[in-house]
Order: sequence, then structure tokens, then C-alpha cells
Amino acid sequence: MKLLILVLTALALVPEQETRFVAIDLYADTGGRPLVAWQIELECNAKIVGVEGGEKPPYYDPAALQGGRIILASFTTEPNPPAGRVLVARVHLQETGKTDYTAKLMAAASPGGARIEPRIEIVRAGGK
Amino acid sequence: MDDHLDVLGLDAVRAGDATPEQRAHAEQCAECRAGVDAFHTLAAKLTPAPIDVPADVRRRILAPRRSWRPVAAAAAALLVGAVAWFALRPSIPGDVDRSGRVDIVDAYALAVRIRSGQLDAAYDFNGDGKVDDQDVDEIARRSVALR
Repeated sequence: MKLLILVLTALALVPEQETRFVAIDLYADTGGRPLVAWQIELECNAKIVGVEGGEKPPYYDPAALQGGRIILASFTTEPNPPAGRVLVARVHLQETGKTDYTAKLMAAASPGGARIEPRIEIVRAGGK
Repeated sequence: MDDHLDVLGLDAVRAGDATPEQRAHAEQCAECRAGVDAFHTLAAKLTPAPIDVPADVRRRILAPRRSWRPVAAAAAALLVGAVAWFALRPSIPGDVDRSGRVDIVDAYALAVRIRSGQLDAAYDFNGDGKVDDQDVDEIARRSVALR
């Protein structure tokens, strides 16, 4: 009984990890080349709860929601695709404690389908 | 007779190809007639003796040969067709740009083709008998599927 009380006391003293909802922006920096298609894999130790895109939401597997890994992708056939540092998607997450994010470019292309390798950036929404 | 037939003339008389003058000379000139006779003897000796060819060998040589040309042509056409089909079809279903993998660039490539009117049945990835934006969506969904 004393042991149980001791354990419960210890658990009560451990600070509860803070849970918060955040959003991160994914940028693709093409270095000036027009971007017509992109595909990025995001991994984190937070819980993914939603995705926003530009003019149309990016493709993703709904099974990724509530998990920590998602593949996002989109394309456009519009005549004037964006170029330079392009905000491609915003991902909403539920963080608990310290969270790490990694984003990996899986594919990207310029008009005509020429493959390019833009630099991917992760920026906490509201940051720079 | 001073104007005897030369060797070619003698052999022409033997072979029956001589001119009337050469034939007339050979009939009148004993020396040339002897020459023609000598050519007859020589020609007889040079004629190859008949060879006794075994019947089965003769049958195999003279039997009408089966022509393999139509078969070969059909096989070649089939091979060319197969090679062309393998070369032109997407090697991986959905791999429109033939990069060796299926990703969003393939969805883009198919969308561009559809907008330019290229509705090749090979691009019917969802198997609904049509090539349209739903096939594009199918590729995009495959690209982002978590495996």
C-alpha cells in the first residue's frame, strides 16, 4: 500500500507535457524555375490533424491524419505556375513536448515535366 | 588449202555453232576434219561420267523444300510488335513519364496529355474505360499512399 501511494505521488509530481495545436508551412524554393508539380514527405513526432494547400488542397492519404508521417503532393497545369520560394502547403498538428520535423522532397517538376530539385523549408506558421 | 580453221573454228564446227563457210571448209579439208574429230574425242573424254547417287540422297536433294519465309516473316512481325508494345506502354502502371516510379509528376504529365487531347487507352489507370481527370487523381492518390 505504501508503495502504491509512493508511485501515485511520484506520478503526480511529474509535470504533465503541454499539448498545443500548431501549424507549419512547407516551402519549395525552386531558385526561380517555375514549379508545376511537387511531392514532399513530412515526418514528425507530432500528430497531424489537417492540411491546407494553395488554390486546391494537396493530395494526401487520409490514413496519415492522426499519425506522424504524411506524403503531400500537388500539381498545376495553369499557364503561369509559381516560381521562387513557393508556399506549397500548411500542415496543422497537435504537438506534445518537444517536436522534430523532417521534410523530404520526393518529386518536383517544371513545365513540360522536367524534374527539378527545389530546396524544402519548414517554417512554423507565423514565422519567417 | 592454206586458210585452215583455227582452234575456235574447229570447236565451233564440233559443237554445231560454226558459220556455213567454216562448215564448208571443214567438209573439204581433211586436215581440219581431223582436227574436228580430235575435238569430238576430247569433248567425249571431258564429259563427266554419270554418278550413281543413292536413291535416298537423290530424294532429299530433289524433294521440294518447305519454305520457311512466311513463318519467319510472321515471327519477325510478331517480335517487332512485341518490342514496340513493350517500348511504348508504361512499364509501371501510372508511370506516364517513364521515370521508373509513380509520383505526382506522372499525374501532371497525364493531365497535360489529356488537355492536349492525347487519350491513349494505356492511360486508363482506374479501368473505367475512359481516360480523364479521374485517372489523374488515381495516379496522384497512388503517389501519396502510405505504404
